[in-house]
Amino acid sequence: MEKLLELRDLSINYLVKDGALSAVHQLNFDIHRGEIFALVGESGCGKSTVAFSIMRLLQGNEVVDGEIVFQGEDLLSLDEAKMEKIRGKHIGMIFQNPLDSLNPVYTSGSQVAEAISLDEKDKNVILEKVIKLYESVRIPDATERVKSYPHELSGGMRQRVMIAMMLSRNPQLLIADEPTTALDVTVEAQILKLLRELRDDFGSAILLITHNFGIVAELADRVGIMYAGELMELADVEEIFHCPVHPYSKALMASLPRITKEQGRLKTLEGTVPRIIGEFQGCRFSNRCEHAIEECFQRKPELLEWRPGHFVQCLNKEVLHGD
Amino acid sequence: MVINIDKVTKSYRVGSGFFLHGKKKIFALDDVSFTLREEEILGIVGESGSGKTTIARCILALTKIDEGRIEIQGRDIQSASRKEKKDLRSRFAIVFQDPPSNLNPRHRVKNSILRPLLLRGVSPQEAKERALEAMEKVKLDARYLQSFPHELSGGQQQRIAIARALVLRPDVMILDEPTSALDISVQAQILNLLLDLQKEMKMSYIIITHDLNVIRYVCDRVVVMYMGRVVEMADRNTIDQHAKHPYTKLLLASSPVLDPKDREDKRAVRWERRRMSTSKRPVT
Amino acid sequence: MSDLAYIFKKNRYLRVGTIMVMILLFIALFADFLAPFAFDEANREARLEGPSADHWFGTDEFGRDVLSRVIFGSRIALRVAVLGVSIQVLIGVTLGLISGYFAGVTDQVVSFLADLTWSLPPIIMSMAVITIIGKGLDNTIIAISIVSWAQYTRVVRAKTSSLKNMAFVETALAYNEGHPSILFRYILPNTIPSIIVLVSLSIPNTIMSTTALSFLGLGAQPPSPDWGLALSSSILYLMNAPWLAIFPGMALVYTVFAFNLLGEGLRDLLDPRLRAR
Repeated sequence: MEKLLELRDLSINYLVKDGALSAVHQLNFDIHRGEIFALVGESGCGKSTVAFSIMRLLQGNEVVDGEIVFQGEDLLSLDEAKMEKIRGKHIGMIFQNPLDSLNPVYTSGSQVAEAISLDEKDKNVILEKVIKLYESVRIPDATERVKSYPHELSGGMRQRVMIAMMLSRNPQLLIADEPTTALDVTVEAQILKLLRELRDDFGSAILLITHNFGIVAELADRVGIMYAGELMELADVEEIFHCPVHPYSKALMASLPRITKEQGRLKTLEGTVPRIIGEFQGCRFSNRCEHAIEECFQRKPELLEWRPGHFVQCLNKEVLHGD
Repeated sequence: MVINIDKVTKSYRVGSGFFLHGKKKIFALDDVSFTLREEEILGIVGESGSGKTTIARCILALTKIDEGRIEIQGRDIQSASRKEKKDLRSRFAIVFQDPPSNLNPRHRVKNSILRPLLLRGVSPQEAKERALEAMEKVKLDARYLQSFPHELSGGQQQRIAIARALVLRPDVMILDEPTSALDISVQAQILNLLLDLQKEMKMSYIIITHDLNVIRYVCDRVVVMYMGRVVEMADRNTIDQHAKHPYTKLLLASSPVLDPKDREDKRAVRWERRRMSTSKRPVT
Repeated sequence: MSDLAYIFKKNRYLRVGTIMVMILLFIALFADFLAPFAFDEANREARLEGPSADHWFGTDEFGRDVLSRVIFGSRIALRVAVLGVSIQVLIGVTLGLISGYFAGVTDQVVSFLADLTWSLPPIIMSMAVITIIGKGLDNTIIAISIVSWAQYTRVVRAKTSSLKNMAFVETALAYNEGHPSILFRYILPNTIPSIIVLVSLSIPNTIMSTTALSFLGLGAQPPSPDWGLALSSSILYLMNAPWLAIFPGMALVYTVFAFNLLGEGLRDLLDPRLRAR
């Protein structure tokens, strides 16, 4: 499959009071055309920072290293005008709280229309297109709803409007940062379906950023598990769920509530995520890892191919080849 | 039988007029009945606006109900005298969803934990001992007693909230979305902790949540709420395997699978019922 | 690096504002030592003299040293700030807490009052109040405060009504905490950051309004070294003795600017959500 986006040795450090806080460290992964790639990890693992760095929407007090190659161009070296074009046309992003991304003083329809009016001038044609888009994201009463202001819509409807806006541009890559966190489960299920259709019908690739393994299991093709700014494991979704290799992935899978209390106990993970300022020696998970060997505290492991398409970053040979 | 909720109705008037007309009446609870048994973990599941949080506030008489009765060990808390209300409330502890807002940001953890005890007339000496004991139970170092909430992680904050509930030695603990703001590995810690404590201290829990996977793991019985009504109430396994009400089925079908293999099976069921959730819920 | 040093390094407004306000406090505190003359010491020999080595800022129509008068005037400005803001906080915060917490009719009445005072022009209103309670600096301060408490009420009310629905307040209620205790232990402490920001932002307004009333002859009375009074009496000599207007004017601008910067800096520090950038 053709590579759409490639991250090469992406490192992001935040400049904070006591030095450079490592948020993302030497990250490497690809997203192929038409694929749903999930970047999963717990809060503070740097997954959202990755999303914002691809859109080049970081705050400005970060140092970004490495390359983000999108269709053969390094986004980090583009000038702002070109980047704006890419943001408008080729890469779209939806956020956790769609109310923040919609302008409260314009009707939802006119904001979608604005996205279309770049190529189309006739007002009636635009309106028709907007209504069509609303129908395609299954907003009931589309003709009426285009006149609604963002606050008049429910959370699920707002997220649909955001997706409609994305559809109008037909981006090759959609970044969805916790797209359903604020929504009820039944609404969440509908939005997930919409995202899946977006991929199936329009061929958009989706970078799904989430901490919710339920969404990953529902939607993703491939999964990257992040911990403390690094990828610990990367594989097809079935592999991640059924034969995780890295001790961290294993611990996460064992802590998912998939059983009843009579059937057993959930595994837990003791300790906390390290806050890494400046250089760090060894594996970032070593302090919480039950399989850590001496080497783990001295040398940074590399993300290596463990099986075709399945990458693991671990030094312990028993973990990799045991069982 | 610890709590008996009998045909409770509670409505709000919404709208911003100065006078009552022109305001709409919204039923947060509509003819709700269920019971909480001794040493039981009861799950209340529903979506936002289903009235599941209102129930908690009614049980504690933090808000008045329109009709019906809420009996706590045979005593009606809503019509109780002020003193009796206080007495009944002291059998409860409560933990809300959002860890940071659960604790007063301006109080040290110690004050947050000790305050409810002192209000109940427990001596400062004993209160301190109980606080230390509770910190041990929630597996937190006693030095965190001196911290302010913002110095702690979400999981630690939630443990503190649970510790504050434990020092009261309640008969019933009401937990409103106790883990939904937490990461899964922390969620597992908190759920296990809750299960251990329940066994050890012989409490009952009312766990209010939207997460069926959590319910499945910890609860004995489940109450399913939809738009202010109880639409189904049964043992956890019954709900899981033989749900009757279409809304329960929709909820089960919508709930994330936690295993990519289950994706396809459920999709068919889910979209059949899509109509229900989009057409019946008011657009707010 | 300590936290405080880091905050000052990052927050330029706060840094400059704090230094400027500290200088002002220093001048006011040590006015007796800093001023070369007493503020009311007249010298008939040296009337309306321009700036010189003896009188850096020149002298006024009675031969009084303008520098000394400007220095002593800082005490009046600070008195206005402290007294005025205290009254505003007292009225505004109390009403804000009550109306935000109890809601209902109380809230509607208080909000109506707040909106009413907010919508009337403050200078005209305070002039009306002064005609009732009489002229003089303290009366002016009281008058200004009576018409400008509403901003505190608005902010505190909004903050209170959102705080009272927070889980920690509900929990406290469930654990039998009484209403006064909820207000003073749980809600008030959490509104203090917003109040501090408002205080430093309303100081300049209060000083400006009081100066304006003094300028109109309703506030401080001669021979007070009040800056507004100085500006007003300088008008007659504006052409041949401009220093009479320039130096008190600059002192006023400096003071207002200092508190505004401090306010902006504190806002960035304490209430990041309000940040405009």
